[in-house]
Amino acid sequence: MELFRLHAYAVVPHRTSPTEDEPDPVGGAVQVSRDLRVAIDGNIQGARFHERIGVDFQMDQTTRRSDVRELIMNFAFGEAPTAKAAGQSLARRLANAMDRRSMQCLFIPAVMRQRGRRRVTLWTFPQDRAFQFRNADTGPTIEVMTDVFSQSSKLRKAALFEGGRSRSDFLRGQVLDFQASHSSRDVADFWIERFLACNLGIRADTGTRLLAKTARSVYERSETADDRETLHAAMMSMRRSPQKRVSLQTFAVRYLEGELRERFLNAAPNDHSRDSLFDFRRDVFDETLGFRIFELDTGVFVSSPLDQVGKSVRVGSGERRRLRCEGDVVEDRVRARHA
Amino acid sequence: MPDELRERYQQRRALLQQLGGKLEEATREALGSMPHIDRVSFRVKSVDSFMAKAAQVDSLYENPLVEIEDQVAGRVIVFFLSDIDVVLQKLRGTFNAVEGVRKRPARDEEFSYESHHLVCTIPPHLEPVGFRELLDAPNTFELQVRTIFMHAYSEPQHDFAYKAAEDLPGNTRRELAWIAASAWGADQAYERVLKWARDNGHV
Repeated sequence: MELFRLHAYAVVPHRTSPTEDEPDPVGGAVQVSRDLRVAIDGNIQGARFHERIGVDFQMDQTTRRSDVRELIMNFAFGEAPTAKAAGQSLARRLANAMDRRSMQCLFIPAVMRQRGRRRVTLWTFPQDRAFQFRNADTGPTIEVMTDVFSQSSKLRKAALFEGGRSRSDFLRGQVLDFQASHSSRDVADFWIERFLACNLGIRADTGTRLLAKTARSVYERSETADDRETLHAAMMSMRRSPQKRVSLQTFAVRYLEGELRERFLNAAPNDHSRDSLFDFRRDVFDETLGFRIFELDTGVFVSSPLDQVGKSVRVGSGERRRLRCEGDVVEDRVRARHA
Repeated sequence: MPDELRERYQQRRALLQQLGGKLEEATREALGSMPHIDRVSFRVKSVDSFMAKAAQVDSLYENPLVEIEDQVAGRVIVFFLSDIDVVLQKLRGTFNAVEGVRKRPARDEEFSYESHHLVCTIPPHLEPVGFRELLDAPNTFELQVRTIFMHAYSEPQHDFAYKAAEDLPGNTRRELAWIAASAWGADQAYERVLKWARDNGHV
């Protein structure tokens, strides 16, 4: 694809600003030099968008509109004045989404094209400080530069949207955001929700069920009691964790190790399902995978809520794993077979 | 050009079938604990039906392979009117909906097709292997939610070869309106029976 449009804006945070009369971000269209083209190409390749977080625009379901999607498509397909207005609006929106804890940033919307298709990338690079070393005839000098923006900071963010000019295109995208699973929702939501007005591509219910199903499939195929106990502990930890935004990948890295981690990740349906973040919902998880069922050598089945294992239901370790269960009987039923 | 389009759609039908299977499974899981679900089913648009839609004079599809949104479509049929909102809420929690429309007659005194339609984006984790590599893959699929009686009115009409109600003789149109009105009335009556059953501890 050919890079044919690139704007740049210096964006100062506005959100939670005490005054309404903040200046608009300054910037506009930039002449694309060879070096800049190489830098943008390098950033796109380095971002590895195909491995990143899938997002969908939050659409008004009655009008089928999203203001941000509209701006992005205007920027991609519009004539120069339309694109200029859209770029400026996006920069203003970014300023309004950033609070005063954020640093000034460089915002770069860029468009590549191939026939009727467009690929839009939106980038923010945070302000940084750097030294510039020169070895002049009079001796070496170091200049402290403050108007530089980092291409490698973990605080940089990016988004990619691609498609033709139709109502069925530009509904989904990929996002690079290393803070999207931050424990502070304010930080986590900045890029995807406040600026892009997107949802995570995997909805909370779906992602939670996916995690539960993947854990169950690995659990049922595990041949050792140790693996099962590790998985059970991982599921319990996830249910209690305050960090609710996860992916199968982050779950595996956080709670599993070695070959068990590999098996868990290999059980994911595809690459996207491994890497895409979602918001974990404990109620949906319990609905999908709330019980652990033990079959004893006596023909007895014990069906226990996950969080009772280790409490009122105790399973010993070792070659013969004995189960002890204690509690008052509150109901007693007869059935043809184990449910 | 139509031949090329037909061939390209034909070639992707196997992938669309796989996608439909995955979407159906996800829909069933989402509604797993809900009562009053009569059935969940997904289908892939036939090649002839796709080509007919792409060729519609008023369709304005520039790229039908992306823009026809019911290439894969699902249907959830429920017992009672009050189940519809519960199902829609579950589906919106499972899929990202970009459009939601309640289809019904334009005027209160008319009776005809009624159903709730959602257009949702295809969740990336449900895409079958090879789907992403498709040139001009669809981004969306359609979901319909309706009661058994709404379905009873609309479904048999697929067997009648007419394009618009205006093609039918007046009396036949009136017969169809009577069926639609009966279906509407039956839904209302069942809803009242359900309320009575709930109020009196029979459900």
